[in-house]
Amino acid sequence: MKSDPIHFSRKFGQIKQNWGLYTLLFPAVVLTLLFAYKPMYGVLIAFKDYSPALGIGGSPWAGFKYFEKFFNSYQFSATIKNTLVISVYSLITFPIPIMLALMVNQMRPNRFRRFFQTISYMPHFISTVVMVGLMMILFSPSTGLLGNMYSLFGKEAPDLMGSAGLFSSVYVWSDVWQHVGWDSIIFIAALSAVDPSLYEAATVDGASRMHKIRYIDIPMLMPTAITLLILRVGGLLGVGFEKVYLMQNDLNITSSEILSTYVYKIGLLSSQYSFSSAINLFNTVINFILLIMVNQISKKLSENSLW
Amino acid sequence: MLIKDGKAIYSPVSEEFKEGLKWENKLYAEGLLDKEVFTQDDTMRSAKFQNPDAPIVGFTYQWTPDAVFGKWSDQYVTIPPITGPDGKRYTIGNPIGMSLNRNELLITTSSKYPEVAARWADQFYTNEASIQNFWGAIGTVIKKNDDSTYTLMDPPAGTSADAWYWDQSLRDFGPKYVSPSFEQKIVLNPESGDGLKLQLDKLGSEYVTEPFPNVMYTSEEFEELPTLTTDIDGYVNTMRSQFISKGGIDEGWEDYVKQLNKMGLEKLIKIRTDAYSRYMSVK
Repeated sequence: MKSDPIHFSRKFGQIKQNWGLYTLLFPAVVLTLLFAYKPMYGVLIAFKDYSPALGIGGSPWAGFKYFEKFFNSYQFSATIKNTLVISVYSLITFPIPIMLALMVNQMRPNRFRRFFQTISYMPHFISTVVMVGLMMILFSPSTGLLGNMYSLFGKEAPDLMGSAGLFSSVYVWSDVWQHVGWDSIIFIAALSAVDPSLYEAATVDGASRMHKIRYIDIPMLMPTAITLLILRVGGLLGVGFEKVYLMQNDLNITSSEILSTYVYKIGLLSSQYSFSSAINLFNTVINFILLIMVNQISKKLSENSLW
Repeated sequence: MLIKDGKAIYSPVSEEFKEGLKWENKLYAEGLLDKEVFTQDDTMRSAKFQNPDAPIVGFTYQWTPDAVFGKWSDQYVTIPPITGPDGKRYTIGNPIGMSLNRNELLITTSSKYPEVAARWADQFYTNEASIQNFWGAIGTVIKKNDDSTYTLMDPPAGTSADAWYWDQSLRDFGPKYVSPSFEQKIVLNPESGDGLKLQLDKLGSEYVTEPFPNVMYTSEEFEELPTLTTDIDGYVNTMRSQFISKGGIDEGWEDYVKQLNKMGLEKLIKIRTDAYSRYMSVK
């Protein structure tokens, strides 16, 4: 492109004019560079035989050795499958906060509604460790709430925490319980921004409640929902490490060993830094590809997209 | 990994292990093993040991009673290892009664005066320094008597002797050496802490299987090893809990061994055997 002095000086003039905004932006840019981009240099160790004594720069190159090792490993298909099952399962529960938001929106704005909202988002603030501790206590087949309820009817409670088949359900539904209220806040906010004249016009036209939800609320929520959905898909293989790791035990490990817990065991517990970086880099690349794909699809279908 | 008749064997694929699993499965099926044994965490387990209303645990494989059972500790006695299905008794442990570890003290390459650091480190190997860094300081934990013997003081009320030593010293870590003649001067109370452990040790010491020693690996071996052990040990633990809780040991055994071989068990055994023969051939 030809350099365009007038264009350039106009650009520069804009910056000069809005210097206050750029000053406010500056710390954020510096933080992103320092904490998101600079550490990426460390990704190099996935392609090296990393040894802490030699440092990142000094370690010899290994090429794709560690990637091949992972692809050929016994854990490859198992961890990928478990990660996908859990994340696709949680993705399916995506509409639940939207439903809750639509429901709350139908309530008359009074004290009960505020009370209901507070109660529903309260569990979000329980930390993961406490949450998993609660689950272990409540679901214990011998001493827990569930065990006691079953024994009232003379039955033996299923061992929810120790079942490989039920692991994904326990994980996903406890997550839904914990975060549904919080996740719905953003939708409730989007709904409260809907122009009241739309509802008034609909009422005049004789629309029922269901009609209003169907033709006003849901379309108004779509842009927010799609954006959040794209972001969720981008993290598809990045199932939260903490909760899965805490819920793991020898009985459910066949369906609870996911990429991130395996990376932790290999990388931090067994000091295989290069191998675990390779696994994690693979994970990130897949996530990145998914994110771009979903964004493209949604751009074509609904004209909503991240960029 | 164990040493049997001078050879390194991988015990989780042995017949003895299989028989042990069957027995545990029987206990589990009869409700004699805690149903939550594979799912509970340490806090839940110790809550059961110290159940406030009444002691509810009948039998367990444990540390000294005072370190585990809290106020119920006087209700528990230690028994020798029980006889296995083959009529023999086994227990894990260390027959020579010494833990030999490497890398207890390191001097960094950026140290300007490594010889001074080494001289300082040498002091750790004196008798008196060693006992202090195993139990705690003289005057706080150890009492030096007038006849130059050493006794251990009682832990503060409400603390177990073990927990107290861990607070006060490097305990299992760090360099130490006590000469046999000096050992004579240490008088331990046979009713608590380490003295008690020595007493309890007599119950089982003749049945101890020989553990795999702390061998050295080459850097190529070490590159393979962690991935192999993460996968294989993980699979053994998983299958062990399944065999015990669900049974099917005879039917599933062949697949279990096959799967282990697929995960590189032979390679793991080769690495360990090679390292062991190198270790044994050192003069």
